[in-house]
Amino acid sequence: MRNDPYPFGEELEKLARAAILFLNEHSTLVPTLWGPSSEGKTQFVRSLAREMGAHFLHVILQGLKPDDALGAQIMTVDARLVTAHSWWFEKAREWVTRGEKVVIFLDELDKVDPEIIASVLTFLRDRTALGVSLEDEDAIREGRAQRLAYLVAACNPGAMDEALRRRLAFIWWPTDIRRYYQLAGGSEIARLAIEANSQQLAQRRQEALPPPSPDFTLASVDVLARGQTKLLRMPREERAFILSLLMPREAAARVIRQLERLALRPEEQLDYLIQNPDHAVEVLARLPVPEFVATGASMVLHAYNSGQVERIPAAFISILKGAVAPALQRRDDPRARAEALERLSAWLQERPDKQELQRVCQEAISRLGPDPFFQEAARDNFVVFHSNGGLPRAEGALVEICRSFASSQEERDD
Amino acid sequence: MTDGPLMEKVMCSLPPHLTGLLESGLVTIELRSRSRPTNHAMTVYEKGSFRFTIILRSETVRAASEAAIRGLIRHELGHIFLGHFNHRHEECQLPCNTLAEEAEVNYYVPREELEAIDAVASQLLQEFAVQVLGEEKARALAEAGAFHTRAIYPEEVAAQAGLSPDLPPLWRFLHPLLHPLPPGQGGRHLLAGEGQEAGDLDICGGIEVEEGALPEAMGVAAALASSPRGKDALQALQEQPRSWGSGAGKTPLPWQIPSLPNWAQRLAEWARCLVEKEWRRSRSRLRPRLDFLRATGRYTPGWARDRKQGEATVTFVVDTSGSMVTDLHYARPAIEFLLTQGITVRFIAGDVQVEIDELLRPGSPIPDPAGGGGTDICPLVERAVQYSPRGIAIYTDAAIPQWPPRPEGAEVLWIVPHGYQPPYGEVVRWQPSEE
Repeated sequence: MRNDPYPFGEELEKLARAAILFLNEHSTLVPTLWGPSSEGKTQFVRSLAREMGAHFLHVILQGLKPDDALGAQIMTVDARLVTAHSWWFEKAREWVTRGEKVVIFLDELDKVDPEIIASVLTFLRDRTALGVSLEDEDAIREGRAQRLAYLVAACNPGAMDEALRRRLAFIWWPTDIRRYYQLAGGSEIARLAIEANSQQLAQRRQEALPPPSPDFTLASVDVLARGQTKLLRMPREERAFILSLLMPREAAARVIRQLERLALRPEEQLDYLIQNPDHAVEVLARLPVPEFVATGASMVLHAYNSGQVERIPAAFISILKGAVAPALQRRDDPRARAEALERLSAWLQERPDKQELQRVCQEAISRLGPDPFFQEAARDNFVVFHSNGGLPRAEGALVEICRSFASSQEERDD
Repeated sequence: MTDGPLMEKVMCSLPPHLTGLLESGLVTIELRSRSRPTNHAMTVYEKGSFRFTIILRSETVRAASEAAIRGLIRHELGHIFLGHFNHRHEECQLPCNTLAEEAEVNYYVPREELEAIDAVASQLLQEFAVQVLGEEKARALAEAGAFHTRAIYPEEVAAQAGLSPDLPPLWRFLHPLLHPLPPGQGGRHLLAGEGQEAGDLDICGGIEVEEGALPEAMGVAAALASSPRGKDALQALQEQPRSWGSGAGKTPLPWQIPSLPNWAQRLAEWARCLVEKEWRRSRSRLRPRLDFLRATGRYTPGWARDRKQGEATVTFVVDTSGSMVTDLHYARPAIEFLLTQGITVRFIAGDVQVEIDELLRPGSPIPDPAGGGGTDICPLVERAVQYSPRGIAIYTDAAIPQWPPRPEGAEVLWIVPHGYQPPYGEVVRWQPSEE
């Protein structure tokens, strides 16, 4: 469980840097370094600010009272309402107004006083304090202005307010022996000390608690849509890292695999068919039998796999309509009836994919109930069920076809 | 050569799975003569026909090698399979759309086939120039390289768009990166001689769907891709681009971050709320109105609450029956999480009887689970009740013969999969790992 393919050392720093820039430029989610104290989080953010040529503002949120955190609105003796922002917000605004970059490091976010969570949340979401915006968010969103104020947060592992947690994108920052050696540089004493404590450091890394798995929210979709161009251009490792901050890692891995998969897939076309069942009937009616069966099965499975279970009843009935279409179009033609029967039996016969189809349909019935199937079947008087006190009775086009086929069989037998 | 032998030439050039696709009747090939060496291949869909028709220029087929013919048909089939006629493709009429489409399609055409198309298109262009301009002028232009034609190679378009080399050059990636590409910087020409008008030299006429026939075309394309014969053809089309990029995309993400289940956060919050009820809160004095103080020039910082925290204990019952074998391990990070919050955990685990009953404090080792047999959590809950806890969290897959009776005086948090509704207590859902 604790083997360490998770990037560390310079690799983690590189990925974290990319994620911090990306999230700030394309989202309102705040990249947050999650790790124990004294593991170089502040130093990393400070060096990032230096590389970016940005000012660095270190805001320790622990113990801050509402007025100190973001500022206060004051009623003066002459009854004027004056807004006094906190020192760091004023400073950041001043730099941003001058067109200079600033990295605001919100430290100890997990220890924020419950009284100021609401205002901190507002700041994280809108980057506003007491109604005053740090930057023109609309202009940034529309690509008319560049992001100048970058937010980075840090917290120690532990429980966190749910709403606050959803505004953050956690970057795991566990103990890393390489960082220790990097800091030691050429100092022999420091290196010997690290070696002497290596077991303890390894143990600390083993025990490091990872951040909670990220929830996939609308904010995640917003980031992906806004940052698509950049994501498509960045190296795979960075793309994978960023995706893993926006959704559970299994889902991120699936997205990465899908992105790199070949695209010869008929999903869009199948989507169209399941969304337009009347057109689907038209097409299915004209397909040769093997293609008809395969397309019908693909429609139902695609509806299920793409989370459109509610479309399965319509898809299912359109397949039946497509099967008997020749008989519906040429009611008096015995050949048409035979053709319809052939198509219907081809659809109903045992096939390798039948079990999967059966499972999908059963699940659709258990989720939606049988009514949508009956309602869909009753449309255009295809099959209508009546139960006037006694046994249920079926009527409609399908029943008529079956009856006329049965009677023609009887005539032939006679 | 008449159309008969020419068509035979076409069919002979195709591998069996592509010929099989034609047997479905959903795609057909036609030959048409055209004097200008343009639109060597194109695809049309006529309303009510329920099939795509690939139209090849007879003169091109006559001059082309088998590889070039195969490449042209592969190219057109690519347009059909990739749905280059649907709404999303029709939204943009700029050259970036065509460039991205052509690059995507050529991604499925082997390089030697693209080069064969290059060769025949150059040759036909030169022959046409001789007819139109005369031999002398055409020779002079040929020497200047005017008839040197080159296909749109996907890797070149990908580089132009700045697409990451890890990603295949698909339309859905290329188009957003190229858009909006102004007219004159791309085009439908698969091959365009330098210095020539692009529009005159389109080798591929693209795919055209008659007005009002889009639903049919969508259905037929879906049927093609879904059918067994279509799947064989897809297999053949997909053989080519497997060597694309680093190949790293085929391997799953390597990270193995120890997983903390989503429900652990909820469990911790529940435990914290439970514990908070036991905390004695007192305010040393009322908070003064800051605005008053500020206005008068006096400012006193806020007053913190004094809290005295007693030992917080939560009883965590874990079902270790055989059906929990894959999901059981999530209990460990959840317990670790509670312990790091400073919460003491009474850990009770077992299948039909209590196998583990330990009090864990922060820093205590977590015992390995035991069990693996049948399920009956009632004995586990009975044991938990003996400790008179304020709260009991129960982690089970709910594959149990009966729900235990409600424990008196204790709040209960059930951690169960979707589809199960315990008769009392709060409920948190979890996703079985096999889903």
